[in-house]
Amino acid sequence: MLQRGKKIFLPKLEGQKRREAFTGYIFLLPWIIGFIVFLLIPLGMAAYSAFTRWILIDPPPRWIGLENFRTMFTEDKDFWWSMGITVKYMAMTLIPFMILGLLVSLLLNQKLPGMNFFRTVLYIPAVVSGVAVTLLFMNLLHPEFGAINNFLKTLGVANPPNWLGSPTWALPAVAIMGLWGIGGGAIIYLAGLQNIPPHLYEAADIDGANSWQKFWKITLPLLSPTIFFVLITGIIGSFQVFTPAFILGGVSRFGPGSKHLRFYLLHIYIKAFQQGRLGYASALAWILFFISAIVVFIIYNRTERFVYYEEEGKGSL
Amino acid sequence: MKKKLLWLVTMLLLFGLLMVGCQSADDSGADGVVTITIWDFGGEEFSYIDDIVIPEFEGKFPNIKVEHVGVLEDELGLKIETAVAAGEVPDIALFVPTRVIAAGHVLSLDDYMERDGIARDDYCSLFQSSNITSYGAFDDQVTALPVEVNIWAMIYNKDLFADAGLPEIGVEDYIDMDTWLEDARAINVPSEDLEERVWGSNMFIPVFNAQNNYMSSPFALGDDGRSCEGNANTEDWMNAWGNMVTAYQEDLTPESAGVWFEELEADMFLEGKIGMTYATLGDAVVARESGVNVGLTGQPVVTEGWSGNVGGWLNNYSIMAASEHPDEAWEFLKFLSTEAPLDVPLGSDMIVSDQAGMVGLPCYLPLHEEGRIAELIAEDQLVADSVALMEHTVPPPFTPDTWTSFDTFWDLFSMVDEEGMSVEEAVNEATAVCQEATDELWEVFDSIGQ
Repeated sequence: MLQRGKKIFLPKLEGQKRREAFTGYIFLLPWIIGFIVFLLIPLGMAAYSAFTRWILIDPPPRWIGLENFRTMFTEDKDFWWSMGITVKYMAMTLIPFMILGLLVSLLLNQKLPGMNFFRTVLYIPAVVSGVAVTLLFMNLLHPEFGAINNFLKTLGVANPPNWLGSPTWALPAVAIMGLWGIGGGAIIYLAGLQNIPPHLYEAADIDGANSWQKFWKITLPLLSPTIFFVLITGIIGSFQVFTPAFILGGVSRFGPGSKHLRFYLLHIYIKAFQQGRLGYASALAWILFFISAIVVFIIYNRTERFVYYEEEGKGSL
Repeated sequence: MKKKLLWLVTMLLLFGLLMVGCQSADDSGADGVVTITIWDFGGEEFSYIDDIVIPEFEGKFPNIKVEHVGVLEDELGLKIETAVAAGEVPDIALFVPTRVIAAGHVLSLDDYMERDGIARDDYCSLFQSSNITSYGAFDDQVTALPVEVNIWAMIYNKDLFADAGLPEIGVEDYIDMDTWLEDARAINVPSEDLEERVWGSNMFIPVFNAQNNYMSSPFALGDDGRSCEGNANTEDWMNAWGNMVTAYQEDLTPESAGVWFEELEADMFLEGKIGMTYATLGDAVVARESGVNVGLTGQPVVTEGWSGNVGGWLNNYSIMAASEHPDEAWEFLKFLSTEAPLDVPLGSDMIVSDQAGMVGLPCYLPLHEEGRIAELIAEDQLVADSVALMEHTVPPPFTPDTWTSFDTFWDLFSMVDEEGMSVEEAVNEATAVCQEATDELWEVFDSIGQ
C-alpha cells in the first residue's frame, strides 16, 4: 500500500530513447491514421448503422434498435434463401477443393523436368480476374454453343443441362467454376509439402515404408497445419462469393436461374445498392461476420487436436 | 537547426495539403465562364452530345462550358444516389432514380418552362405519364425533360410471314397471345442445320414488355402499381403464360435453347432467322438496312381487344436540386430537348452518314414539323409507322422500380419445365413472390422523407 506523501518513482526513458520512440511513432503515424480512418471508423459506423434505418438518399440514419435484425429473421425470406444458397455452394466446393488441391500439389511436388511450367499453368486461374473467369465460363457453359455441352453430346448425352439457365444446374455450374481455381490451394499445399524435412522420408525408406505409409504417417501429419489453413480460408471464401453471382445471376433481368445464384453477398449488395437500405445491409453484413466467426471458432476447437505443430509439439495424432 | 528546418518544411507541406483539400469547389472561372456537368450513359449511343450538341451550345452560350460524363448504364442510378449522399452532384443527370426525386433532390422545372413558354402539351404523350421509364412529372411538378421518345413495339419479317401464308400486320392491327403462338408455329422451321433453321418468334415475355406499357387490362400491378395479387394472375395472364410456355416447350423461340441474350436475338433477326421480335424504331431501321423485309407493328397483347400494344420510354434529363448553376443547366437542358435534335442524325441518316445520332424521334412535338425530322416522317414509312404507333401507348401507373416486381416471372419457364408445376401453379407462386417484392419496394419508397 502506498503511503500518502511518498513519491512514486517510475522508470524514465532517457532522452535518446524518448526521441527514438517519438521518431518511431512518427513513422507509424501514416499507418495508424489509415487504420483509424479506413478501418476503425468505418467498422464503428457499420456497427452503428446496423441499428438504424438508413436510406442512402434520405439521411440521417435513425436509431431503430434491433428492428433490422427482427426483419431479417422473421420477414426477409431472401435472407434465408441466400444463406441456403451459400451453404449449398460451400458443401459442393469445400471438400472437393481441398482434396483435389492436395492431389494436384502432390503431383506438382514431383521432381520432374518442366515442373515449374506446370506449376505456373495451374496457378494462372488463381491470378486471372474473377470477371474474366466468369465470362469464360459463360461461354463454356452455354447450353447450345458451349464447349462443355458439345463435349457431353459427343459422349452421347442427348439433353445436356441448361446450366446457368436452369434452377437445378445453375449452382453446380458456379461450383465447377470455383473448382477451376484449385491451383491457388495447390500452391499453398505445395509450400507445406516442401517444408517437410527430407530426412523423415529417408528414415522411412530405411525402415522399409512404402509410399502409402509415408504419405499417411509423414506427409499428412506434417501437412495438417496447411490443410487446416486451407479449410479455414476455404470456409471464409465460400461466404464471400460475389463476382460470379453478380455477373451470372445479376440483380435482375437475367432470366431463369438468377434466383438460384442469389448468394448472401449478392443479397447484401441488392439491399445496400439496389434498394439503398444501408442500415439493413450493414446488419446483414454483421450477421455474416458472426456466422463466419462462429463456424471458424467451432472448427478450430473441434479440429485443432488433429493438427500437428512441429515446433511446439502442440496437438497430437 | 536542421531539425527545425525539417519541422518547418513538414508543417508547411501539411498546411498546403490542407489548403488544397479545403479549397472551394466553385468552378466559375475568373473570366466568368461557368462549367456545368451532365451525366448519362455516354459511349457511342450518346456521342452526338459531344460531337454536335455541346459545340453548338457552347457557340451559342460562350459563357457556359459543358462537361459530358458517361457512366455505365447499370451504375448510373447508384452513382447518382452516391453523389447525392456525398453532396457532389452533377448539374444534369439522365434517368434519376425515382426515390431520389421523391426525396426532393431534383429541381422542379415548371417555373423555367412557364418563363420560356414551354408547355407540357408540347411533348409527346408518354411525357404525360407518371410511369418510371417515361415520367416527366412527380407530385404534379415537372422534374425532367425528355430528348427523344423510343417506342417498344414489334418488328416482323414480311418474307417469312409470306412463306408461312400469313398476312402482314399493319400498324393499326392488334394481335393477342393466341394469334402470336399460331403465327410462331406457322413460321417455325425446325432443323439441326443452322442454315435452314428458322424460329417462329423471340419470346415475348409479357411482363418484361409490360414494364412501360399496359399490355393487359388490368395492369399487372393494378391501378395503384402495388398489387400483383389479382392482377398478375388473372385468366388472361394464365392464358398468356400458357402460350409462352408452349412456345418454349415446342422450341419455337431461340430462348428454348437457353439463349436469353438480346444481342444474339437481334443478330438472328437481322439474318432472317426469326419471324417476330420486340424492337424500337432504330432496330427496325437497322433490320431494313440489313436487307430484311421488315414490318413494324404493335406487340401481342395479353388481354384480347386491348388497345395498348406499344410501350416506350423517354431519355429524361433532370436538373439536380444541389446544382450550383441551375440557370445555366436549364439553358443547356432546354437546348438539348427543344432545339438540338434538329441537327442530330436520325434513323437511316445515321447509317448513311455513319454518324451517331438519335435512335428515336424527338419527344418535343414542334420539332416534328421542322427540317429533316418533318421530311423523315413524311418520306420514311418506318418513321411514319412509329409516329402512328406512339398513339398506341397506354402508360401504366407509377411504380418505384421497373424490374423488381416482375423479375420472379423469369423463373416461370423452369418452374413448369423442370419442377413439374402446372402453369397456373407457377403463375400463382410467381405472383406471390412478386407481391412480396412489390410490398418491400413501396415500403422503402413510402418511408422516404418521413
